[in-house]
Amino acid sequence: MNVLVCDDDHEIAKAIEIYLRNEGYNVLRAANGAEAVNLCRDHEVHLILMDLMMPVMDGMEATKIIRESKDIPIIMLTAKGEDYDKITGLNIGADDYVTKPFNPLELIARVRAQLRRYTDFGKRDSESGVYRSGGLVIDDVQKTVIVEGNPVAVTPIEYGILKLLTQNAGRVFSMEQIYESVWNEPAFNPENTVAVHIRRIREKIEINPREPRYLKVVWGIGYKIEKI
Amino acid sequence: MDTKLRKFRNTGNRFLFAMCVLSFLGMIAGVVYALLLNSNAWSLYDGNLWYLLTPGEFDTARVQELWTLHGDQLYYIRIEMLIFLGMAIGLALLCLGALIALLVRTTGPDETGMVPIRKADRWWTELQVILLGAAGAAGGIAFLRIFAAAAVQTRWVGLYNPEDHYVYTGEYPVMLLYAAAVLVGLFSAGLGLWLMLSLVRKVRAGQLISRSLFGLILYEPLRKLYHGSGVMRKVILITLAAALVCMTIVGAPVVFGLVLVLGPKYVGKFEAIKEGVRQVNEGNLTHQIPVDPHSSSELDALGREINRIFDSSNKAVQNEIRNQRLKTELISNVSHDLRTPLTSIITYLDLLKSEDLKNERATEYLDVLEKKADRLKQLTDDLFEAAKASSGTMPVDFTTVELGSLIRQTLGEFDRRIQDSRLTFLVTPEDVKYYVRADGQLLYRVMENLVGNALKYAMPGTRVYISISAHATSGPEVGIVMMEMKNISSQPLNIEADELMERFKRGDEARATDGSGLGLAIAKDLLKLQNGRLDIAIDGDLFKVTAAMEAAEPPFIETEDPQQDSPDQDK
Repeated sequence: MNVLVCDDDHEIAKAIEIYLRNEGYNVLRAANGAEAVNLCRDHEVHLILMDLMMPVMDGMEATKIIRESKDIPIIMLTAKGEDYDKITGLNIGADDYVTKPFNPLELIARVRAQLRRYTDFGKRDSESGVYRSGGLVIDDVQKTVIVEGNPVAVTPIEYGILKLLTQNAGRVFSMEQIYESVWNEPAFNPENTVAVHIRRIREKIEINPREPRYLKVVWGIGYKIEKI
Repeated sequence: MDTKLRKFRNTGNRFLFAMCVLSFLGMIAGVVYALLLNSNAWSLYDGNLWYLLTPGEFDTARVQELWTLHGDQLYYIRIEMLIFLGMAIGLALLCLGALIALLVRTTGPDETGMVPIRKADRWWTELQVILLGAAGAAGGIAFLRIFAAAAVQTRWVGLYNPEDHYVYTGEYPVMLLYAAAVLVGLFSAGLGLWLMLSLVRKVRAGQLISRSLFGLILYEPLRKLYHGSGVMRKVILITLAAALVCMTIVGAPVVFGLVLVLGPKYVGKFEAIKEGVRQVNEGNLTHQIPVDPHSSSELDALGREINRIFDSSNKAVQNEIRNQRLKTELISNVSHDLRTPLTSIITYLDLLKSEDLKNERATEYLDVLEKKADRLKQLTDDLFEAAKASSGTMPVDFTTVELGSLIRQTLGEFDRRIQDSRLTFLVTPEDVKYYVRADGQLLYRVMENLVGNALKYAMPGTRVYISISAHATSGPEVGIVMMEMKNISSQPLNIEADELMERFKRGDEARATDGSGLGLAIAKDLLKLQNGRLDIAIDGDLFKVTAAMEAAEPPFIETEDPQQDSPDQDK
């Protein structure tokens, strides 16, 4: 697997390279957007880590150009922390973003998740009793939860919540609805039982529970599993 | 003046007014009775009563004879007359006193030093004077005539000589006449007094002329013209001159022509100014009123002045926009420049940790470095969040949010930390929904900061109370939803409540903990962005946060039955 790391900060690029090599990936490095575009043209690249603010050609511009010819996963590295940048980045074709300063483990986990989705693409089976959203798979036949290929141990209640939300991916459920459906009794006063369970589930299935990918909070309304 | 005092004064004034009118009528009645007695005596005893009453001075044979004949009766009649005259004098004094009191109380200046003008004073002075004359003359004559007619029929005026007393029995019963007299008297005397007070008030306020018909149509306009500006004089004199010229056969067409040429021109200029002001008011800041820069015409000069106001306000707005943009860029760039080296620090610390370190102390130092790097990261995050929240450049996506659910969700997020903290969070009421208009994500950040604050600074083992309540506001707007959060501080709060919300402010003891001192400031700014308000109160060790938010209409309908999707399908 070839991963292209594009960052004008030499030390950061080098550190990322070390982590990726430890994971067994082959790493190419570029110091600006223009170099990244050239490297992409000349080499086979499976994933790009792209910094946004760079001299010569910035990450947005480079992403746009690369997207014209390739559909490989692109993860943005942003230090500005502006929601605006993240949204624009995702809109012009990036697949994910990581905010600097990042936790190295989180970065690696995201790289792995993106690569698995990229290489597994098309292998998606449509057997009954299996619900999925991106790398999250709920196998209702074997009653197992699999995230990015790794089985995750969950309690029956957590399983019930995950199944309900994944079956209806994209739809928002209020805490009362989740309680009534999973506990199977009227929600007189669910307090924060549901919220606590959601938090636990997120710690099990998300790379970074603070910035969930699958199980999202719709504040003041409820929860949903993102339809990916 | 408070209403109670005013009410008291009004009652007092009404009393004085009634007293004045009644004593005035009573005085006239006394005089009429006295005169009547006198004339009765005249007709009875062939002479003026005074003759008879003062025998010493007019000691004629005739008087002597009358005294010996009717001594008793004359004596009583004299007493009666004196009583009536005395009554008349007493009532006259009372009337005068009441009048003076009324004048002082209702026509004098009030607390502001101005003479208060009342409804009655708005009538034209001429009308008031005419009415006053009518009330005085017609009312007076009518009253006297009716009263006299009644008086001559009253038996007790000559009570002591029923047989000889001259009694006229007319066609109207005595009581009816008296009633009519009282009505006419009260009406005309009351009206007269009322008008008089009003006139006096106008004189004292210096508005006698300006509130008269004469003043209205002649005096005031001329005075304004005399004191007025050159433009006013110009416009009026030209118009008058034009009217005069119009009177001549030759002049009329010239004036018509001038009006047709000049009228549209000047009205057009005026309308351009009006339109310009409207445009700028509606937000078209760069609009300029078309004016002739060299013309000395009044409307052009006005237009130029208004254009100058537009220019400066436009400049101020542009400046503000540029400042805002620069601020946002600055925040974003500084954020980038701080985070880039921090990224290297954190990643290389992590790499260093995975190296094989022989020295045990080195691992220990590395732990310290790692902790501090994390703290630095936390501080930068908070700093930029605070900067963004207070610069007002954060986009806000308003939706309807159920506050109770949001609080429960937040507490769910904090579940582990809450369990470790030995704090109990109590949310009331449990079963009522409160919908607010807010940005769910931002409102969560507010709650996150508040709960985090409680977790850091509340006394372990105590309870944290969160209560929600709705308050209706008057007027068409929707109400307010209040959220109150109370906890007991673990350290003495030796700081003012307001200061706690300033950036980087913390209670002295709190410096040792790992907060950034920005939590409450961020919460406050974020709430402000959502049209809400955050207040803090400290009472001893009780720390209380009050958040006010805009209430929202409940969403149309919530999907009732989620079970339908799940249990049925997997069977």
